[in-house]
Amino acid sequence: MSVSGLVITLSEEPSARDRALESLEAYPGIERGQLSDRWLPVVVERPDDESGEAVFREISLLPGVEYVDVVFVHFENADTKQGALGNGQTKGMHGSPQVTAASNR
Amino acid sequence: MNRRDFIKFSAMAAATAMARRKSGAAEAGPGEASNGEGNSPEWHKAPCRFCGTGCHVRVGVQDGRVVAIQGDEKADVNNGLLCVKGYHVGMILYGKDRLTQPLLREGGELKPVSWDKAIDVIAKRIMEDPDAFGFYGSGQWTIPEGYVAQKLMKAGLSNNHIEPNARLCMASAVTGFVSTYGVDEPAGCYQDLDECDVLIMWGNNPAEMHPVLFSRVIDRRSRGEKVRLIDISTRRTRTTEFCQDYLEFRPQTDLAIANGIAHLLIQNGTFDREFVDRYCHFRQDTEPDSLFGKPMSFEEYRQAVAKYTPEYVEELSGVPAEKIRMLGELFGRRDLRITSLWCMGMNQHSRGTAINRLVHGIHLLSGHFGRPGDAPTSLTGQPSACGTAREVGTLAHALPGGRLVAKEDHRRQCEKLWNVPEGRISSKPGYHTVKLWEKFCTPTNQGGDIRTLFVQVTNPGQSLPNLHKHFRGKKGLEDKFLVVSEVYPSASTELADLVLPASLWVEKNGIFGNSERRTQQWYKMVEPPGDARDDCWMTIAIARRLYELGHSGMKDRDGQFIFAMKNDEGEEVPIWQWPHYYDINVDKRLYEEYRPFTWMKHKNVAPYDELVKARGLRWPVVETDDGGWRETRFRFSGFDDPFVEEGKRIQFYHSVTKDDRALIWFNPYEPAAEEPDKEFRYWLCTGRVLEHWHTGTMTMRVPPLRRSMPHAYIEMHPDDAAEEGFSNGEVIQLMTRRGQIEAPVWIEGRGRVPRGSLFVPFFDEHRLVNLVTLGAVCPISKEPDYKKCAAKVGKVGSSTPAMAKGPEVRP
Ligand code: SF4
Repeated sequence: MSVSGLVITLSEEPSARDRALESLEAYPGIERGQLSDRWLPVVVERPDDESGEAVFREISLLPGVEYVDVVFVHFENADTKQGALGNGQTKGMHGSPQVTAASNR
Repeated sequence: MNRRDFIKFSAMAAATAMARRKSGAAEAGPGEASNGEGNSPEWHKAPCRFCGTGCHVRVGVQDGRVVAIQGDEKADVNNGLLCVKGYHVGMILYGKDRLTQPLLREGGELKPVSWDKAIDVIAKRIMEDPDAFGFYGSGQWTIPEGYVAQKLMKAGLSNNHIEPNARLCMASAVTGFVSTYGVDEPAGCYQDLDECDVLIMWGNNPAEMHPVLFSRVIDRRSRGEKVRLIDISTRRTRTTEFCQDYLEFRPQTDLAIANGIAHLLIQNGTFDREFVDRYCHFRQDTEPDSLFGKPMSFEEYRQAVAKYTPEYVEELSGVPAEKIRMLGELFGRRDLRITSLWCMGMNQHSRGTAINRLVHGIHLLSGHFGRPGDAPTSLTGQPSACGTAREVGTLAHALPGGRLVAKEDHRRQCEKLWNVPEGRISSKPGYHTVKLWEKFCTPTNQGGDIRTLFVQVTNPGQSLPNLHKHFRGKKGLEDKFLVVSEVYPSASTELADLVLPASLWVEKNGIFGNSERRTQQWYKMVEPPGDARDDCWMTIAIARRLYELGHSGMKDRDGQFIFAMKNDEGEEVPIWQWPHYYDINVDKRLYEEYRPFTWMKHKNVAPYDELVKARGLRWPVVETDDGGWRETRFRFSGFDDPFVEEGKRIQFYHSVTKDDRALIWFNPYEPAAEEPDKEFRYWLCTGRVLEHWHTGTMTMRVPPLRRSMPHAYIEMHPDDAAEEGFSNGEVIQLMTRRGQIEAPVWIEGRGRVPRGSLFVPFFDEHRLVNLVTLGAVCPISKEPDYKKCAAKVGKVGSSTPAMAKGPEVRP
């Protein structure tokens, strides 16, 4: 189980903000807190530590979301699965890195 | 409330408090998860293990494991925020390939040995030839770790061959500060970011490298404050997206831009004449270059910068003349507060000292200094580059507290404080980092007089420039012996003869010093895995073994040395024996021994017990009349610095000229050590990415971070890629005169290089860009330039490695 506490900064523009709030409703495993001006606290719960990060990335990219801050992470079962050595990265890798907005920008 | 609900409640409480704080709500409410309730974790404080921002985290520990991380609301640095690396920091402890036992290479293979054997092997190597021993650490050494290593080398072995990897990242900032103010480290603090009207980032990408600091500025905007952001850079980054102005310059010509601003301030009559008359002198370089140069008059300075007209600067740099005028006008305004930020872009520069001096110079010339928000500020990449490398002085030429081995009075002071006989400290500076490794990788009979190197808390096999020459050259040199203390297998352990498993972060006690002079303490929270042990203990155990072997340097005047410690009852504790190491707080004893060294340069660090209570304290920390302790936010400013004499607005009390004045330097623009030519037609720049910290040894073990940024890439302009016939993601060859690597090309990626430029991050040990970097160093700081060299690209298999003799590289 992983649990993250996030603060989502929503757009200043009311219609974009509403759209973002609607989209957030659609996410399973996200609990919304009380909106404070345009800052929304949410809690994301996932069975593992891996998918929490994917949700975080997706939220960051939603229209009407300006950025996402992470303030709390619980990763109790998060045994990291492998080392950096011999982790299966091959030289023939194609496609650019899937870069995320996983920052607090 | 069950456990799961309690964790979710804690997460929501933290998020709600932060949302309210961001919205400016008067009462944010408690956001901290509380201790020990409902089978919840125990929470402790620690600084983040990664960058020099020095965010504080709350670490949740349960059943002997770190299970949760929360940004620490009580910390001024980050007010509860963390970046993507910070909130994963707990996971770095649990990669499955943690090193857990000492390994000695026998018959080409690393085989388990006991700690006794490992320590004995090192001690005997040192005994064999003490002068041929080198100690290489980093800005990730805790203060006690660095201090004890420093003392072993300089006060014990009379050997100055000790260096931190910080030579590779902030040595030019040090020489910039020292040659300008006579003393190292920024005068301002992070409050400058909260109060500036204009923030200029010089070759700096804080949105990715110091994200929490950058979000402080972006949050101001979200609250409706006006702050103008200017990005002066050689490539577009995430930072650029937030800036009103982006000035793209040809690599190396930042020198010309800074001189162009100085010229305009004088030509327009908008420099701060009063500030300059009262607080500054002018300086220029000597031939050859020196740290303190020689005096010049204002008139000579005016003439020297006069040729840097906006048009001439445009010709050199490619930045339009009107943008140079815009900078000149901004600096000429007294009603604005201007902060300059920089990090590796200015430091890893073959004229790193010069560009550091010039940026300080335009702040001094324009009087943008000494008020909150008016500051030239360098950032550090490592958590204790300031605290350990710079303040403890773990450099080949330095002694603790801003002292120098070349100065007799400084040596005498240290010998007295260390209670060792006069003359114990050698007056000859040791080898700087690049030299140290060059000597280690050169056969002994060809002048390679470093034979044994002990590496702690860093990964030189990946981070040194021109690795063929400075690291891999060790291969096959039978009489060379490399000891690497590490937490995971790395590019450095690959060549090691002895690998020592180390404790990491909250598996040990520690003290760091961040970029704003803030000293931060934490306690050990969990046990290290297997037989891993603290780096500080390793150094003490080696000293003890040397003592047993009869090394005369392992005794002070009273016959004691770093291994001799007593408990509160006055009984000796054998701390060199691991089971007894934590019988007493060794960190506290070493730190308290170190504190008096900090007084000479007025860098007074706080007592250990005060650090325990605080989320770090910024030195100088002085005792107040009521017995409390007060930190300092703005050095040299009369309104805040306790060492400025009564009634003085500004006092540079360690000035080079001994008259309380800082130096405004002139340094000319000079071409880079290696520039593109017909054959190698691209500039190659290297650097970091948001998700990975430096060489990725830790962050590549964290699955979310590794997945977010799995491998290095070659960032390329789309037109160049089209001309070369590359498609996005295609694996290509990148070649310089030092060698070649292969990596996928990335077009229109996160960063955007201009035509004729390439960028490659250095975190990926499978695509080691430092195999091809140059290694030319700044003549004063000896810091290598990782940001500029000449490269070419080709299809895989299209070309043989280009090792042709290139143009002469200046030192
Ligand atoms: S900004 Fe630096 S210190 Fe802060 S959380 Fe991120 S990596 Fe850690």
